[in-house]
Amino acid sequence: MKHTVDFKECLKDSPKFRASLEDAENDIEALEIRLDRLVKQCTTMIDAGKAFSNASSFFVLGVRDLANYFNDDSLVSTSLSRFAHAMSEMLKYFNILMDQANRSVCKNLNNFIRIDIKKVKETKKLFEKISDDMDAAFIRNSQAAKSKPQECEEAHNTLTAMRSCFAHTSLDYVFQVNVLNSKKRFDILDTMLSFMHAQSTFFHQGHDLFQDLETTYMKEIAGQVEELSSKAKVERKEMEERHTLVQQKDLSTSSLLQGEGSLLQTEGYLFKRNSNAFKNYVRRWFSIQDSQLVYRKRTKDTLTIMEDDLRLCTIRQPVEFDRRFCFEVLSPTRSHILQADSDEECQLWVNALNFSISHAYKETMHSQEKGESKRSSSSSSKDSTNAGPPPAEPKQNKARVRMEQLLVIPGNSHCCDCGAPEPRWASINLGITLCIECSGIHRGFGVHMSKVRSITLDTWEPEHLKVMLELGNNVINRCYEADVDETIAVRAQPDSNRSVRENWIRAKYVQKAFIKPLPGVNKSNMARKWSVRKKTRRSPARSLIKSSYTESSLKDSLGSKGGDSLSHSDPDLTSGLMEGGDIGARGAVLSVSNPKYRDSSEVESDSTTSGDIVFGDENPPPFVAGLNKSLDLESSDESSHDVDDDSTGPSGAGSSTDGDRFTTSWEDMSRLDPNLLLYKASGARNLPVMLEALSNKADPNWVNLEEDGKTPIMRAVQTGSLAACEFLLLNNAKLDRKDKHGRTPLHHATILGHTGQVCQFLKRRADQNAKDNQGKTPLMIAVENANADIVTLLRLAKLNDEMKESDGYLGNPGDETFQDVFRDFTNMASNNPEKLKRKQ
Amino acid sequence: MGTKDDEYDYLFKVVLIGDSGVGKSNLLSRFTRNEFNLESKSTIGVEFATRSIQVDGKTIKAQIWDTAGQERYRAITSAYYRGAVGALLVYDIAKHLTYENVERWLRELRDHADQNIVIMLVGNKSDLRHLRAVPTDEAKNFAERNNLSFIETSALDSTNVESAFHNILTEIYKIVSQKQIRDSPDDDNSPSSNVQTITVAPTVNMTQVESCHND
Repeated sequence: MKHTVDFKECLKDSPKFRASLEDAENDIEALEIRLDRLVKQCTTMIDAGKAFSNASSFFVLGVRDLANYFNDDSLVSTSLSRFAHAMSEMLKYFNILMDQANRSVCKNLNNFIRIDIKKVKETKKLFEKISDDMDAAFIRNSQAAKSKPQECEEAHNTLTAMRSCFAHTSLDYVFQVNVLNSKKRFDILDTMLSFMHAQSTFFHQGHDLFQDLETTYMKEIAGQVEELSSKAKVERKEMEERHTLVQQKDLSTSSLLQGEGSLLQTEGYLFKRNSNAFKNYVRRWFSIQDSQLVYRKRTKDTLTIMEDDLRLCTIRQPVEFDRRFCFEVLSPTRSHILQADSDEECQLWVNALNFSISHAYKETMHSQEKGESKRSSSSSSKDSTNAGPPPAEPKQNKARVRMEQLLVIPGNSHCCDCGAPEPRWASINLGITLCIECSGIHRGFGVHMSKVRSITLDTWEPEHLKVMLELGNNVINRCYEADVDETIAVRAQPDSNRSVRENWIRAKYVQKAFIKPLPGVNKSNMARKWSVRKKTRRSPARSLIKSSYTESSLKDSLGSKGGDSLSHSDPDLTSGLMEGGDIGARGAVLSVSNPKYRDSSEVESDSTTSGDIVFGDENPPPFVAGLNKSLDLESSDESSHDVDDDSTGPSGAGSSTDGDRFTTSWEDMSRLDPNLLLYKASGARNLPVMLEALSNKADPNWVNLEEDGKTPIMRAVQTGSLAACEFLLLNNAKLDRKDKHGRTPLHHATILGHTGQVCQFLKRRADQNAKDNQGKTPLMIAVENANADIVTLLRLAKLNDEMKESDGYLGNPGDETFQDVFRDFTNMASNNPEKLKRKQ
Repeated sequence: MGTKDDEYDYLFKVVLIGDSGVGKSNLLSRFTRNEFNLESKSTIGVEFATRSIQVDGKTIKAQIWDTAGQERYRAITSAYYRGAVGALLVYDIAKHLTYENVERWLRELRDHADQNIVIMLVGNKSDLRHLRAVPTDEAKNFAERNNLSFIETSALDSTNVESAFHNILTEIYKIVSQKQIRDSPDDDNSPSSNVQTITVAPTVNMTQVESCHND
């Protein structure tokens, strides 16, 4: 209040007035400077606040992001989001506070400076001007000459006016100053008060927010944090203890490794001997999963399957080996050397693997008992994929595909001997499927009678599968159960006991008690000539023989042969040949060995004129039928050599021209005996007829003196049929027999350039050093013919023999290469025969 | 089958490859039987021969596969290279085309052989000095660029035949006998300390499982 200027003094314009006025002016000046500074400081504060707010909101974002990271841990993630939420609320309040500061402090004070102080200053200027004017008026008045009364008068008037004006102006100015002085007090206080209110609000809001959070949440979290940290402490202690445990474990023997858990889940590092040429060792993480042995690199995620079906593996520990702690995993096709870090670990692995193998077997039994329906329901999808299974496909799938293939063959869905459903075993030389009980009986009779394989568990040579696909339970039973006499043995049923089964199977296959003998020449037999229907190559595409085609060939053969009119031929025969499908089952009946057919023909047809017999002339079962050469699955070599067989053979009754495209040459009935039938059927690659001949005790090594002393297998070689050769080999045909030129089957295959059969015979250890009458070995012939692939196979087989002779060195590379190459050739010959043809 | 070869420490399969007529079969016969045939016929398919040599006091049996140069498109090309640890890639120093084709043979090796296979480039018929079409330095530089060993031989006058086989077999022996060292950089050999033991998940133990199944 001291700066208030007195109005009385003002009128006096005393020095005191002037002094007090100056004081007041100085005071205002000082205030202005301070206010200016304060506004600037406030602006700076607001800017800093904004920066802080920005930085904080980034921080909040960071916290939110961290919460996302913990999204699988609800405690941490919800806590963090709530904290972030609280902080963002606080930031909102803070932004309001800054806004308030801007509005109240900066704007108000600025207004005070710009408007109020400015007004005072303007008035001051006016006041000073008037003061100067008044001073001038005084001077003029004083200088007015006495002699000039008018001038004096004028000066006096001016002075009076000026004085009055000054009085007003000075009063006005003092008023302004005084107003400002009083205004500054409440204006500034008011401004600051409102800012203080804003501050107070800010902290109150914060307080409320955190009071809520604290009471409802933060205390709870604090408790949980404490709990977590104590838990962590305990765990840490436990882990420290574990560490000492590990040390103990390493120091002591690995007794702790065993019995701690399931051996089925064993895993760990092993050294694996590479299968590459250098046989170096690499360390891999191995584990046993789902009866597979798999491994991976430490850094790479991809699993490699070493053995996809442990049931097919055996575990061996090589006694003499250059490295310690080794064991060997032997599968049917490969051998893996693995090395553990210690003897204990090695033992553990061996135990674990053996246990897994036996466990897998048990699993299979269970699934076979329970999961059959499941398996068959999924068969349709498998069918569609079995055309080209990818190489990585597990062996089990291969077995499934094989099972699908085998079980669709007519009759194969039930055991050939007792009729039990879902047979899982097979006799590959008979071409039948069996239940496990009957397969056991078969085994008991020895491999010369029956060669038993598991459809699901064994690995199969492609040739064996081919044989199976050509035969089947219906075909076999038409022959072996053609004339069942239950007084000899009671027919086995699915629930029959062992001795019933054994008697039945013995009577059926060993005594061959139920077969019908081949028809001889007798009066009742109207047939005069016979031949064997040639089998064309199997087609997967189920193409049926066109009826017109069959019909015409039938007319041909019957018409020309029988001499009588076609109308005399048996209507059953004709319709059977033309209708396909449903007569198929009776098709085999048509083969002459079944007198029933002849009887019925006699009954049904009013004419008893003679006909000719075509063995195996049934309509082919749909899955083997077909003349579609492009889909040929047999050896490719055939096409070039599938010459009509009998141009060289003895012609029956001068009718050699009748050996047409579909049958072998016609033979007189007097020449019908099992051996010639087998020979002819081998040339016709007709496995069902071959089987019929064998069941009639044909000698698989019979020598056909009329055809250069060839055996059936030499005849089969000419057709190029892997299946026919394999079927003969499975039924005790020998590879060391020579024809009259001294040639073995291997010679014949080499001469004909049948690579697939060369491979087939070498796998069966055919003698590659055998010389024909000209002193030539197969190799010499192959070299002469410049057949690179056959030369390679022959030399490789020779090398393999030499390597085997030289010593039993472990992992003999010649041996492995031999196996690899022969496996490749076998697969190629069976699946992609056209590849082997390329050479020519 | 001689019995003197029966004892050996290592058995290495080495293939001879290269164009037809560069002298592969004669290199083989010179090395294994010390024979040379000026009028030898072209090889059909593949021929084998073995010979044992001593390296570092070890007996190394070389099983050498002599392949037919003109039959590139056989059904089973890959069989020739399977298991091979060494390859002698032969060209004729007097026929530039056979040298040009070396690249194609290298490609075939990369396609079919083990990636670690040791390859030696062999310029044969070095006796034909006056007909030389491939300068030694050119071939040597090519070999260096492609990480191959290099040698010039003459099966006719026996020059360097012994050395060629000896060198490649020694090289293979060194690699095979030190294979652990070779493995380590790109294979994840774990430290030798016993940190990794077989971990066994704590579930049922073996006897329990078995008894379950016996029920």
